Amino acid sequence: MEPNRLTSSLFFLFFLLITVAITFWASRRNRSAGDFLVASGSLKAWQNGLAMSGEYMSAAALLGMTGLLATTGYNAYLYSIAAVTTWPLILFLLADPIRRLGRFTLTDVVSWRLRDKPVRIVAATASIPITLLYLIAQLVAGGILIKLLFGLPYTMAVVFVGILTLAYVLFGGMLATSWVQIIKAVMMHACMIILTLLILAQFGFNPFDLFRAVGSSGNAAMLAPTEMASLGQWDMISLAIAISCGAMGQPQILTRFFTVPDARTARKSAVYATGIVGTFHIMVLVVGFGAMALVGKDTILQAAGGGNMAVPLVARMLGGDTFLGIVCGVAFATVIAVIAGLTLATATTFAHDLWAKVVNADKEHQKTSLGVARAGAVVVALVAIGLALLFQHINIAFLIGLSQSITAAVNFPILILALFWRGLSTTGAVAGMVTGVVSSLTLIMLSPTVQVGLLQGDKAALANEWWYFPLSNPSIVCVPLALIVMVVVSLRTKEASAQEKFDEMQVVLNASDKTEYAATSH
Amino acid sequence: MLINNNASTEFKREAISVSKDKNRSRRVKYAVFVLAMYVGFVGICAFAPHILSVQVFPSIPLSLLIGPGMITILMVVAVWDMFASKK
Repeated sequence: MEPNRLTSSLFFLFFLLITVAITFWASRRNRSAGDFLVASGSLKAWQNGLAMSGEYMSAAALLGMTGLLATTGYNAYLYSIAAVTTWPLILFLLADPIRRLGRFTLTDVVSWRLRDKPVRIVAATASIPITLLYLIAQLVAGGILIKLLFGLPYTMAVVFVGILTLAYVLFGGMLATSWVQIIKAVMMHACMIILTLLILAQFGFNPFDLFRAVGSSGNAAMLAPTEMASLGQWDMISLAIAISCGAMGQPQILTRFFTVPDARTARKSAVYATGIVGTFHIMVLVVGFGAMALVGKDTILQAAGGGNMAVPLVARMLGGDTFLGIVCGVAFATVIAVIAGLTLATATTFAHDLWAKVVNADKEHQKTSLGVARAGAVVVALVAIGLALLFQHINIAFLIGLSQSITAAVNFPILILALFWRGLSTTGAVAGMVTGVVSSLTLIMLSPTVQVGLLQGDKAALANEWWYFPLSNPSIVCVPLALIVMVVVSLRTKEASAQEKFDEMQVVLNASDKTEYAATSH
Repeated sequence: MLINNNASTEFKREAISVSKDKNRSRRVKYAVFVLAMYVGFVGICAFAPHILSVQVFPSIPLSLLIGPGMITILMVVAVWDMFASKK
């Protein structure tokens, strides 16, 4: 499939001009670490809601989810529902407490009631690989996507994307990165709305007729979930846990709650994000099945891109080369926006959690943090570009699976227990987080993702090995294991000061929205 | 009301007791509702998918109503909480 590269390039150039202008504007407002890392809490609810949904919905949502639905049927829609379910849970359980207790990172929230240094070291050590792995996966996917859509060589594509996103982060900080996300989210949503309308127009704007067309093309069984062979259903549950718990601990998403002025705005921004992600995934159902009915499952699978080309193919069929060019431009913008957010989140953890709060814990650090955050962003971007070039042929599913698994097994349990369980102790928290990282790493190394996907092992032969872990995603084991270790170790190492601070935390969390807390302002 | 972070716990508790709200417990209940709905849906998809194959309209299985319906409920609950929190 040859997209209209002139239209794609012009559309992308348009995105580039707007975002560069915004970066220039934002660079003049970055005077402190607070400005650079969290835009000094100056975003409005709708802006942060759009930015969060932009951060959350990568090219994997636009191309991957629709492609999977178009080629495998309704079973894939479970992941869409998992992705949407996460948002009300973030709204009800995390948005308010995170904004009230933290300033720059998730570790601020956890260390509020626990001993600062050990928690910060372990949490930051886990957070940096989480975002870095995800960043490398996005860069590799971006390089492949750009090579596929624009014909640019992989190396050039990765270096271009890496340097461009570094420029956004370095000069514009959180403000520019947020606006890049906002513009990308609007473009992606608009693109999906147009595509949905074009598809529905083919069926007299009656979605039931669209689904009936899928059924009459011999794919009726794909309109509902199907029985899964062997351990398929456990793999599905494990991935659903990884998606929902993983998103509830992703640093680059949750730190966005610090970019708004107060807890009330944080909650409102989560409501906006829920609406945007929700409507997007309702459209995924129409576009996915629309591609199946109009383009055909086999054509999508035969096209380059491993089944991810459902959206570009249906876009060209219904909107011609011009619309295909626009879709490709949106996909490119999506990759860049997500990478920018991840680069900033990694740099923030490095600058705030490790440098300012551990290395320079006793010094006045705000000025240092700004310089260090910028230096951190440069280091992170260069490391990520280097690794993305090195791992060009690595299985992206492995990188994303590993990142999701560690996030779900480390950040999710610690956040939930720190906020809702009085008995959590520092030793319990550290032991649980270490267990989450170690168990995720070990099990994914022993899983088909690495043993079959990466090392080309024989699945049937591996199944007889005692050490082989048969599920592709280990979250079904790692998340409960990390929770159990945190609880058991905490019960055996009771910490009076942590319990006292928990009581104090309730005072902060129960305060009405009108009560302002000196500690949480930027 | 501005409360300094250095103030004692007793002072803070006293200062805030007048405005202590029930929003948190309501949100936890909503979260449990969302979680229960999600676990139920995943459970049906994994262990009893035939339930979702039941045709509610000619050639339209239940799954096609349940999926988007669930997403709509999630969005409605989120918006509901925003209005319930107004005070």
